[in-house]
Amino acid sequence: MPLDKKLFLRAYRTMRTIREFEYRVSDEFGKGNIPGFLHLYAGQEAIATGMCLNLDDDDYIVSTHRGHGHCIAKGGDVGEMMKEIMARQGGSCAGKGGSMHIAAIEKGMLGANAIVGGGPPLIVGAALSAKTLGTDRVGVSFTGDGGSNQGTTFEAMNLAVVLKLPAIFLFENNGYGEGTAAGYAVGSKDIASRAKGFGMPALTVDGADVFAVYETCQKAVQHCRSGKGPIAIEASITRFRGHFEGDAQAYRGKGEVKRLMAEMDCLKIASAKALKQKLASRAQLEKIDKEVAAQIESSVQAALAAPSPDVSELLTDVYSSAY
Amino acid sequence: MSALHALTVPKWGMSMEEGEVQAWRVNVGDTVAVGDEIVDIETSKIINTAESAAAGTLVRIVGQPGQTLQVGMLLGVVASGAVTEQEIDEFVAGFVAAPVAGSSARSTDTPAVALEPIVAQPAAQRADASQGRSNLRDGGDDSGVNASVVARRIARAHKVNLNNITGTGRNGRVSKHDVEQAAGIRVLAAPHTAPTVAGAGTGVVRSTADDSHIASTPVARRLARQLNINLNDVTATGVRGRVSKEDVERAAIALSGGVAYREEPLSGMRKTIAARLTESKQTVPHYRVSVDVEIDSLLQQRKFMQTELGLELSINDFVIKACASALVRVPQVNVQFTGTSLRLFEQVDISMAVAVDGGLITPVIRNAARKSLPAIAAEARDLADRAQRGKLGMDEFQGGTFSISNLGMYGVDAFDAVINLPQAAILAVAAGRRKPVVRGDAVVPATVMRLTLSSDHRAIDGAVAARFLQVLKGFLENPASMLV
Amino acid sequence: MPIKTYRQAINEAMAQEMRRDSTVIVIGEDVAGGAGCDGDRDAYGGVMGVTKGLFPEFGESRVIDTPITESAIMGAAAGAAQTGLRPIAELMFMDFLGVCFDQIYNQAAKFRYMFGGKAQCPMVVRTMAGAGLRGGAQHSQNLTQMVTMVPGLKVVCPTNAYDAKGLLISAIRDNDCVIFVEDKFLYETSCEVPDEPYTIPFGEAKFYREGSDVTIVGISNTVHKAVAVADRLALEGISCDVIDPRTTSPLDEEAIIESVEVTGRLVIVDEMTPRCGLAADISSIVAEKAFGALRAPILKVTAAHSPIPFAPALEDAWMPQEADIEAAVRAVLGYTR
Repeated sequence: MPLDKKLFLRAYRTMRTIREFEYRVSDEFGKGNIPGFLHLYAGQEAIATGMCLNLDDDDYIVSTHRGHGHCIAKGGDVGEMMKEIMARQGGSCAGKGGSMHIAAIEKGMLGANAIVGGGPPLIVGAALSAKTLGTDRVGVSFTGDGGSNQGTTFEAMNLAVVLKLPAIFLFENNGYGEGTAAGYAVGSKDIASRAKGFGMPALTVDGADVFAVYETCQKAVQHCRSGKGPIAIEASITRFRGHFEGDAQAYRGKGEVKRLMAEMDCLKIASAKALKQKLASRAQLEKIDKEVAAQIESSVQAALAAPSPDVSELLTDVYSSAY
Repeated sequence: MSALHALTVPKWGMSMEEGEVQAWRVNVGDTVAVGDEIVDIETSKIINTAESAAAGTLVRIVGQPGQTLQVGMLLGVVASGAVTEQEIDEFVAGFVAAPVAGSSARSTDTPAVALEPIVAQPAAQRADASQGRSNLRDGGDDSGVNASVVARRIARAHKVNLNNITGTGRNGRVSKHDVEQAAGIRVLAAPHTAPTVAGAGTGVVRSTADDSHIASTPVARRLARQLNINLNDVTATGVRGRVSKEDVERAAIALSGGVAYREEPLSGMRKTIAARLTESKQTVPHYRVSVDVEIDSLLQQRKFMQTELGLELSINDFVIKACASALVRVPQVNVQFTGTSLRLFEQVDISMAVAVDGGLITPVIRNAARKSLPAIAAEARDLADRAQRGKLGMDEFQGGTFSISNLGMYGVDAFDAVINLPQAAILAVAAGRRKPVVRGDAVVPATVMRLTLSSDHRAIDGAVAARFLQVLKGFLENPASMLV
Repeated sequence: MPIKTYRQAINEAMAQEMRRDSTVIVIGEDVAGGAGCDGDRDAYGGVMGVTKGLFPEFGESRVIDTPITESAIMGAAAGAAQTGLRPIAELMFMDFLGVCFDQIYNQAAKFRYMFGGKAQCPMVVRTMAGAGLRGGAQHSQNLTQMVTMVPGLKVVCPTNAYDAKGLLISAIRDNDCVIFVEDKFLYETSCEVPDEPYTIPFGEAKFYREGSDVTIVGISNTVHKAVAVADRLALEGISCDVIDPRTTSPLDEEAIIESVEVTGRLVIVDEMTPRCGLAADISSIVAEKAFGALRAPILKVTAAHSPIPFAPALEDAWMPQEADIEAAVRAVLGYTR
């Protein structure tokens, strides 16, 4: 079933929220309000959005170091996320995770994983829980083209096939693993066919088109929920920003980013299509834009006003009980 | 009033801090009277026998032979009426907290029970831990209390019921510290005292060649420089063939022609000797005056007394008697310098140095001037004999107003002695030797003995010392005058 | 009380917990054996037979044979633990830690902390360690030191059947990732083990012997060598506290320090290599916290700093032996400054 009016507005709001969030985080990083490393999802919003629209709160996802978008799409609280990234009290991980470990456990977002290839084995476990406990939950591993080359990912795909688990391996091929092209680093060139090699079906989709992503993911989720075992999706996309904030992107071609931002902006593509198909009015979209901007602004102000975590929290939650 | 009395480690003299229990002279169940000798205790000075301060029945021995206990610790318990084992247990447990004064054998102020190797915790911890201490023994089966193995072991030894201890250790477990805190004790390992053998080497010619290229640890190179050792002379055994600090130390011994040695920890007696003689030599302005004494007449008298009267007298007995007589005649030598006054004694108590295994001790012949020569001889023999067996009483070697050190039996020609503080003079007695002496214009043989008096110049001036020796010489050369 | 082997005790702990809690699963290579084969299922029950019998009782949904894929086993266990199961994942030989360590120390160990206390990872990694079976360099190592250093992990190394059952039940019920290190030398050893389930708290050391002259701490199987030495020395009047920490994380520092305070002398026996190991760790803890009590240097009796050799003569020389322990005890007793 394609995106209807109601779902489209949800999708648009999610994508806009991710975009605003990422750009604002970039600004705040530039102002020195954010410590550490930042890897932004700007440009890839349609993928997280299109997938998570098919999931319930009790389905599971694992994410990558580029995880803000997945967390927002899965329902993570933007205010808590901003506080976490700004290392403030009230952050979603109590200031102990940061950007690379952003999570919304209560929403089934089991955590951003800063070890490339760290997530796929975990989602096999989440899928194993679903199967063992007899729920109809599915687990989705968001992985990049870089992560598709890790042995852990191969092992995870194989085990998911062997145990016939409701796991979706969603590969976001944004063309680069850090500063090396996927065309160089992915030997098969084609991640989907690699997944097929492990014995599972694999779909491909244009990651800039939220309508297509939504429908493809819908098929994958249905495949899993119906007990047919794991499935893979390769979504092609680009990233608007560097591997990390501050990356000069010298490895990218002249004018490449500018051209791709014009051609592959999922928000522009989605609004044009929606306006044309009368799924939404310009006024509706502008209203969402304004609301999102206000939400992000207030999340930043709240974060800036919050204190740093108390040092007394240093040793809490290392263990579940007195050590 | 309690029917139970504590027997504690007495304090014999200012320097006594602890004593090792040697042997009990009474058994549990024996009746003891006040003043009865009950247990032998070895201090840094001597083995002595503690007396009972209470009358009754010995109902518990706490201090076991081999244990070193601090002054004031519990040795045993005497009951003056019928008591139960439980009452005794409670008394022992309660003693930890109870002030000792009044119930102890001799008044002290350092309470604590000792069973295991213990270093008692002094006053600081005692005060705040005393509350409710006497109840530590009470309570039912404590086998279910969560306690660490060591804490339980200590509690058992000190009859502490673990139900009375709040655990603050791992997972709320009662820790060793918890038990110690509650009982006001501290249990630590006894110091280690085994001897060891250290380095040896042979003389080596020292190199002068450049040693900067020789691989060594920085510390080894620095040490070698300090010790003026050339690294060419050092055998490297360190990591990757490097010269280590230990290599340099070995070389230092070898280069100095060092020999093997054995290192023994100091005994209590050795420590006491070291401290007191160092103090004497460093703080007392010693000077010495010597005189030769002809003792042929004395020897003749001695032989006569032996053959005709059956009296066994040593030359030293005569020297003691002569000194006593001389001190009566020259009382300015029978003195002590206190720092603020001069103390002149009316009685002559002569300390005689006796070599014992591992050191020396100075038993005292009291009031020697009033004693006959045979009495002095008998007393001197008895004291020397018991000194060597470690059986002197504390009051038998403390005090004294003048000391005599006699090395004549070793045939020495002359020596001088270090003053035995707080006394002011000591006489060093050398061997009697047959020597040519000039008498008138003739050279005749005589038996000559060199006496050297070391005096504290703060108390005794040279002329007084000389006068004393003159009188002493007179007595020894005319032994009959001693009898006057 | 019935006598059971270490192997039986571990098996019983798993079976009882699986009956008690349907979220407990066993996952690993050949934990049943025979999957997809023409012959018997449960053909292995684990290479050492420790999980034998679980498959017939609990079936393939809870006794899960996997491919040879340690990263995926550990990752799947961690992911499952985060989402409602209590997996017991088997890492056949501890040597294989290298091919799955990321999933243990970067993932399982960190969920709770890294996600602000909102996640948990109640899983057990059962693994087998220990040299002396001529397994060579890659099937003999005890890498307890490597997991002990990771915050977030708990590490258990039982040395007898009774402890093994109680500690494994505690591990299964624990809400953190517990590495349960079984010493392959001990599977055939036995002692009295109650039939009913029971737990043993972590971080509480066991004293195999009590004495007053020297404290000997032994990790895993080495504690039994230490006991043999202590018993021999007891005939000479030398008495030793022989302590098995039972869990290296958390470590019962208190029990070790208390004992050292009384004996003043410490020998630590550890079959692992000497650098950055448990013996070094315990030594540093005691040096820091009980320096004043020490009457002699702390001596470590460890394996040699080399890969584990195959030839019996070499392997025997590589690992700590009773004679080494005895020599160390005598050395600390004979020490003077």
